[in-house]
Amino acid sequence: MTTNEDLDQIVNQYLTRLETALADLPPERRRQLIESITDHISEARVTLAVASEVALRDILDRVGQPGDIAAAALADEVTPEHPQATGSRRGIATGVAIVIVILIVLGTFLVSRSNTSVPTTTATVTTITTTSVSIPVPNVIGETLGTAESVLERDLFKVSVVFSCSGSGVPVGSVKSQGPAAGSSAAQGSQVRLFVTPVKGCP
Amino acid sequence: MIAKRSSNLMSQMRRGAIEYCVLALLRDRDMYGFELTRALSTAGGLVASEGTVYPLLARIRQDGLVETFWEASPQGPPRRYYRLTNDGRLALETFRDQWRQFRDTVDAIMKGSDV
Repeated sequence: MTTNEDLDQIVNQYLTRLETALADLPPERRRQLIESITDHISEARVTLAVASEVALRDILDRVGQPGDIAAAALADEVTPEHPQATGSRRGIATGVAIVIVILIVLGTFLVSRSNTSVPTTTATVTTITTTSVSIPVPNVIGETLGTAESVLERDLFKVSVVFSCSGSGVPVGSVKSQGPAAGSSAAQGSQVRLFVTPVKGCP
Repeated sequence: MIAKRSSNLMSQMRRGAIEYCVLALLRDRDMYGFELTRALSTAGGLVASEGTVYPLLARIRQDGLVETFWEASPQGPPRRYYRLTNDGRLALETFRDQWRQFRDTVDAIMKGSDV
């Protein structure tokens, strides 16, 4: 017997595969496309008489292979902002690299002058490297969407919401399940997907 | 070789025609993403899958042929509705005339009669 939590995880895996397949799209286009398809899946699930794994797989089959959707999206990609976006990202990366080099040079210089400045330099470099640290994902199951969002955003996670109507006893507008699961390790700045019962309720 | 040639042609013709099919579906009423893509996929042979329609919807929206608005749903998440703009209506009418003429000409020649 497949539980409703398992069904949400199937959707979660599908959306994660889709995100990976769409990696070459400009971030804003990618975000909108994933939002549209997330809503599509939620809408299709609402209309199901019985929430079974077979029915869910059928919905995802009809949505299509992530690779096909990515191919369609890239074929429709005509806006010239793509190379610019890559360019600006490269610009930021270069900027960060330059700052790090300056800090190292400065650090070496200070160390050579006086031993007391070593802790200061170390502290500065540490601040930069903490930006991609992995931490355990907080448990927000049962929380209202607003609370869950503020808890996750405080820990520097990004939040995306999937409306889901399959079973479970949580009140409307609350988080039923989450991916990655509570307690598992994830990089700060990465995305946590929340499966939420719609405020309007379910059929 | 011949099979590949014909499948390439069909996929190009489909690609060109689908956006006008979307505009035609929206001629009489506004529709939300799920019902629009489901209608196209149920029509058969037109789209590879429902998900591949969304990039096209984004493009014709960017081109100003459709506009979108949100509306609450009696069940499930809020729905993004698609509505035809004046430009979209014009594009649809133009295509319809051209398509009829094109179809009639090709049909006539295929049948072996004089054009």
